Amino acid sequence: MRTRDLQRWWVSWGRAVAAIAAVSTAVVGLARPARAADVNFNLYGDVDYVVAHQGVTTNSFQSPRFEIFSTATEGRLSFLAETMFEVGGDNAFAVDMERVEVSYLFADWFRLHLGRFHTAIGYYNDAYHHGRYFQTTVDRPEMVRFEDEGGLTPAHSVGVHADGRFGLRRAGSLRYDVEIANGRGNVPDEVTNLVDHNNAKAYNLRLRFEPSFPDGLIIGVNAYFDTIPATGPDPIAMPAVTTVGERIYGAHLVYLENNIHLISEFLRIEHRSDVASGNTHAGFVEAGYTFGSLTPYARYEKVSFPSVLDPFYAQNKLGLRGSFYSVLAGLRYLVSENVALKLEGGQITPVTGSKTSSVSFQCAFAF
Amino acid sequence: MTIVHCNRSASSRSRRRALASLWAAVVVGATLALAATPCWADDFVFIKNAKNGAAKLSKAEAKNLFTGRTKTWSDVGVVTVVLGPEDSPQLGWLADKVFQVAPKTMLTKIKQEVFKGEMKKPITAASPAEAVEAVRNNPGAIAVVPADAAKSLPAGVALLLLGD
Repeated sequence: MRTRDLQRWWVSWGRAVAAIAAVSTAVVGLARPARAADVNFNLYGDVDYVVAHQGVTTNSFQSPRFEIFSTATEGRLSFLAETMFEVGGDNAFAVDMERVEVSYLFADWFRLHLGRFHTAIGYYNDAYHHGRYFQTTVDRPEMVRFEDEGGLTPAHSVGVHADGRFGLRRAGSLRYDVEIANGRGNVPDEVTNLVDHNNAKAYNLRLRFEPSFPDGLIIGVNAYFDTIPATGPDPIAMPAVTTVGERIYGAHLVYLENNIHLISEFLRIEHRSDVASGNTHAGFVEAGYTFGSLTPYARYEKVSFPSVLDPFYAQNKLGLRGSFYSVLAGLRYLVSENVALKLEGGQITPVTGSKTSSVSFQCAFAF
Repeated sequence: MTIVHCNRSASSRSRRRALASLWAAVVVGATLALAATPCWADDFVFIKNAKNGAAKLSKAEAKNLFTGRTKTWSDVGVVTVVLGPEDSPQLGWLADKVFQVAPKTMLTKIKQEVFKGEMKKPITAASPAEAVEAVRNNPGAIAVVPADAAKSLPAGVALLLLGD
């Protein structure tokens, strides 16, 4: 018995020592510095001068936004964040997190993102983010502006995004984007960063055919489905929720090679509710040609709202303005790979109401 | 006279045939040589890490690698682009031969793809020697260097042939 007890004691003691050794090894392993990741910071922003005329003429120097763009990669894992310091309606800067994404690249045909990202609707929304340097024009087309600027689409989504590209032999390639996200909030400029008010998720699919000839041509379609828990402009004062079913169908054709700049996009947005239902149609064509550092460009855009707006779009800045078309033309001068100067003139013509004309100068930077 | 004429005609015909054969051989040889050689004629070449099994790429494939459309190699994982400074000849060659745009325009395009999250930020190499070193240290790296710099590549770095 004594011998057995001794054996048991040794076995127990041995197990304890092994366990301590294992835990220590693990702790030491965790404490050891992780494999260095490539962390990068970039700065984007712009300063502008705008003269506008709608009955009266106004002119303003503007310092509208400044952005810190950070990325980090470690093997197939990557991180991206876009922190924006943006001027709001009160003329003061406020901080806004525009994108926070964690991605894992499994293969060219499958990449997974989690976080807050630009919704894969049409072409413009996730091709051009907040840095104005990359845009040919001074501002985004009205229809794809951000939520707080009156854009028609849910520009940002919080959820899961998967994308990838499949080769189609000599024909070219097929790119897909699939998203499951929280969807819209109670009012148009709310992004559901933390709470999904109605638990119902938004589903989005975009498909693009990229033919091998002409190289660079993109032909895409998309479909987005969501259920919006719409309230009045003040959800506390007007808490009644009207459920609005939203369906967005779109098509785009883009060619950005050989110094040619062509982006054309069309969207049909269907809203269905007990109060009002209707379809909004919107589209634009933006074209330009680059001669060395100079790119002359022009854009035509048209937005048609239904005659009776649903409770959600009735709070949208463009919805309040009503149907309109706009034209603009300008010149972009690429000073260096970090600085672009733009001079642009344009006019917005609403179906009812007076026209707005403007001339803008922009100095956009990307360091 | 007639016999002499016939002889002359026969010899000139055979000479023509020989010349035609030689010409055809030169054309076929040149075509084959141009189809799969590093662009020595342009004095710039692509280099890769020796662990990377890729042997050859077309201009379209090169463009896809440098814009994040192709994100991985089949055997060494994530693609890492190594670029020279904006005013470097190797960057000018890449912009002209592969992208067919000005270097500034190409760099803006690459920067935009990084901003979109489509590719990781390129490594900037101040000199061809730095580019070679970056490729040696990174299995997924690809860079353009002058052909002279590629004549004596260190162990761990190899040429990546450019086809059409």
